[in-house]
Amino acid sequence: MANYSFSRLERAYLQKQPTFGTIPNASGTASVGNSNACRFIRMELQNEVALLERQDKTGTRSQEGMVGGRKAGRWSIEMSLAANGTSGTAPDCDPILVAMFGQTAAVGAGTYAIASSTAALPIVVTCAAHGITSGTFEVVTIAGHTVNTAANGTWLAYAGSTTALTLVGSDGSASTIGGATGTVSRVKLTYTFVDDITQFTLWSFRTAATLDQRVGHTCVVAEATFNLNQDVATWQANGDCLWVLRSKDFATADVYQAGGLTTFTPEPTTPVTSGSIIPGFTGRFVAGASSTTASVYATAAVAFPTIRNATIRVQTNNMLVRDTFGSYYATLTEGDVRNVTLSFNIYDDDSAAVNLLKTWGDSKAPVDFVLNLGTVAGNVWVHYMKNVYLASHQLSDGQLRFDASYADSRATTSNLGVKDEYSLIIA
Amino acid sequence: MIACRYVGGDCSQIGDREFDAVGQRAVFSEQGFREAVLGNAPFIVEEDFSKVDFTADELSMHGQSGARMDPPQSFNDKLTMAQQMFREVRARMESEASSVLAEASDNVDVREPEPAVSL
Repeated sequence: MANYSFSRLERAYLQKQPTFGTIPNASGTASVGNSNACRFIRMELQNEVALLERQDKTGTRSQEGMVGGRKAGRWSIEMSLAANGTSGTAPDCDPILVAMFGQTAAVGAGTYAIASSTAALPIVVTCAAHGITSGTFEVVTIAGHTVNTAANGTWLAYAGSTTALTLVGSDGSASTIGGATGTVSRVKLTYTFVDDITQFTLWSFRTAATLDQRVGHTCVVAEATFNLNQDVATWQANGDCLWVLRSKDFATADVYQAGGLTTFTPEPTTPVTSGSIIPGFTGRFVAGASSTTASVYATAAVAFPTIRNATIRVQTNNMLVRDTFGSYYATLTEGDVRNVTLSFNIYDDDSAAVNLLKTWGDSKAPVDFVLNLGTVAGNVWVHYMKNVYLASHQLSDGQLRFDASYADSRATTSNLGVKDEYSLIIA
Repeated sequence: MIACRYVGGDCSQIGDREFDAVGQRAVFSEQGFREAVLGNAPFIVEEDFSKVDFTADELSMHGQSGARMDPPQSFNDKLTMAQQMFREVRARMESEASSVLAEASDNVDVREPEPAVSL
């Protein structure tokens, strides 16, 4: 009798893939191991083989036989948004994020004792020399600060001096001045764009081991989507891959399909994963008019507490080249202009802040957004979007309170050299 | 075998075992330890863990990740130090693993891809 194939008994393994067309391997044996495991909700790996049909008239209306054409694959995955939980340590999904941004994340370091904090809007923390270049922004995590506890958490911080940090979007005005307790930490991962395109390998192993096992190789990220205000925060990504190799067909796989393997590796026995879910409704939504003067943004940006939901869509437009002469398979990567957009929905009210959003939407004055998902250090995802041209709002009475919706609004780089339209920080 | 302690800020799963408390002990084979660390499960060897000097009270009160509410600065400082140790060990292991993999692929008799079959 054939073995069952329960969908819960599937595991994913992700590997950075340095070489186009080659699954990471040593002497033909894949190097996938326990350390590459990654939890996920659902995944699709699918080959797409074109059919070539002779167009000539035949004298009948019956279709004659066809032959196989160009060969390619597609992948998609959905998973809980889960960082490692230990600041500065890559999440299990790191290979996808690296392929999305084109390079590995920068790892921050350094922890500095706090001397005091202002009970103001925004909070300015004074600490030991933090090393952040004065006049620039960086994400920091404040922990253990007493009295002015509103300072605790993960913030985009503006370095006003070598010892002062303005916490963008913070408000300590309901408290009193904080003393010499707690620390500022710069330990985090920061993913930023480069124009290079990198690949990863995505393995799907199922139980029983006798079932068809699969590996999609030379995967590029075309699109990723992050959602705010779900019960459990999730994200999705998809894109092209060169081929989805199946274990049952390995013996007949050609050199392109096999991706450099001489044997189909069985599943590692003891997968290692880390991290917990994020309640998707926890975090912070901060916005302020983009400004060439950093200190202006640092003091003017405010938090919006009545956001209903938001979606960040990152279209890298990375793809595989499928039209080169002399090959059935993709032979190269290519990419178009990136398209990073934010859409959101906020309850309408008569506050100056909500009105500002409407004004920005109509005036097309660019806006910088800082969206934190999660509040537990080590598992906070900070989406930093710059120069977003907000769509004009649409007022809706489709529920008990009026709300204002902003359709996909595009983020743009500050200048062509920095590619800073979007960065993702895990702190 | 390598005796080590968990120093993660959250939780990790290794096979069917769950680790969610700072100081939780595990004994791995050398290969198992490498896989855990390279898989970003924050473990450090017991010798390093003892240098951090967590007290038994600290570990029982603040070790469990799910129950950690406003631990004292001294505990946070020690955890930061332990996690920095982990990151350093991991970086060293990763660099070794990359060079071993590069060496192995240098030794492979790489076949040139065959030209695609024409119709």
